[in-house]
Amino acid sequence: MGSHFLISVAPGDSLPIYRQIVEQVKAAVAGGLLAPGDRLPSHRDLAKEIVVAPLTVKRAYDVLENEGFVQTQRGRGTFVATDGIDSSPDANAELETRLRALIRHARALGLTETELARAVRDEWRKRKGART
Amino acid sequence: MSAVVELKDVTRIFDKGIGVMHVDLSVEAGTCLALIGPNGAGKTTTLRLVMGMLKPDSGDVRVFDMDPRESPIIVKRRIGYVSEDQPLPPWLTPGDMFSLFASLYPKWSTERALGYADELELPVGRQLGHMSTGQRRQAALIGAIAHKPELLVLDEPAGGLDPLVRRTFMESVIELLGREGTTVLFSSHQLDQVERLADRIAFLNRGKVVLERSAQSLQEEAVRVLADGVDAEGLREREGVLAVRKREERVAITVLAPEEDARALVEDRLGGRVVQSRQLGLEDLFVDLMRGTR
Repeated sequence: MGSHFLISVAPGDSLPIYRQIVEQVKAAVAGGLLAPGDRLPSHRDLAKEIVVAPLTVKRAYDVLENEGFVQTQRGRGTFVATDGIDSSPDANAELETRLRALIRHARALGLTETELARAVRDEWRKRKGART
Repeated sequence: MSAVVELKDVTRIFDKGIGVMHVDLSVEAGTCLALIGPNGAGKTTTLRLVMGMLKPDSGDVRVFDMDPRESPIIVKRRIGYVSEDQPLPPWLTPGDMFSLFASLYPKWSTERALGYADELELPVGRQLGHMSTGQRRQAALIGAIAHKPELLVLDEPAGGLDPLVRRTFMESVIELLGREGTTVLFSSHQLDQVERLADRIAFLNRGKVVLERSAQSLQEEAVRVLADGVDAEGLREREGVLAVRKREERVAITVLAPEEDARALVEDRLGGRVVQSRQLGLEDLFVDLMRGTR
């Protein structure tokens, strides 16, 4: 359990703890530390390991599930989603290229970093609503 | 879910000043509520009311749907309680204390108590009077959790504990929350501990609950906006505005609202321009909130 990746949360961050967990699981998936089909520790086990309230971890898992990163199978546990996530090096390089192009485009339009980030986030949230 | 602890419009005033005024709080089964606020805000008074150690002047205190003053023994058996200034008989050893607790609590497990003592390297054969403050606190903590209480009431439980003991203690509380469905009500000045443990946070100031929210939404709904072209005059009285600070020609406004709404407030209703906005950490929020509600 939890043997192939580490999560550590930092109270005092402007990011709430459940968000920190979400981001770290996503990073572990993107970085290949977690592969599709891998099982995550139960929310109670992870809660004890990283010393946060069990409901906080539960909430993080719920968010990950809503965003399609993990799937919970009743009675079996929570697993990294097998569909829709491609974390191969090629896929990551492709994303990076597209990001660079996007930033160039945004600069040309006179957008600031914050404005671009907001646009990305708004679009992301719209899609999140559409996929569930 | 049902409430394990419920305070309805509870007031208790002391001769020397405010205790608590018109406090409404409830703690759902299996969740953890943290009380935070400056010294003298009413945290200890609230916890003592829950324990039935104080009688409210008015209002209702219910624990397990009972009045803790009418049914003190039944209620207390189901609670683990630790306070900062808890008196423990100095002539007892932790071992004696555990035997005593075994006769008080039907669900007491001396084996579990000794297990915790072992983990904390607490000398169970030494008299409490000959121990350090930290060790006495450890003994009290073990006394509060070894009967797997349905409700844990902790008044500033981390005060005077070293980081290692504090961590072991937090782990046992999390274990109780996760495995036993224990409900937790605690007060603390240690905001990192609050962030780790609490599902909900109540801010107390001058005897009143000034804000109570889920810990998770709290940070996402507390935002500081740096704005141009906003008149700082009268801003503080606007609803949701917690603090206003002038920085040369710009104004930093702390707003209790999701980031989008906070930006909209500045741009649409105050006619200013948002330079920057960011969510606040718990400590910044605490400071702005306490200064704002003086």
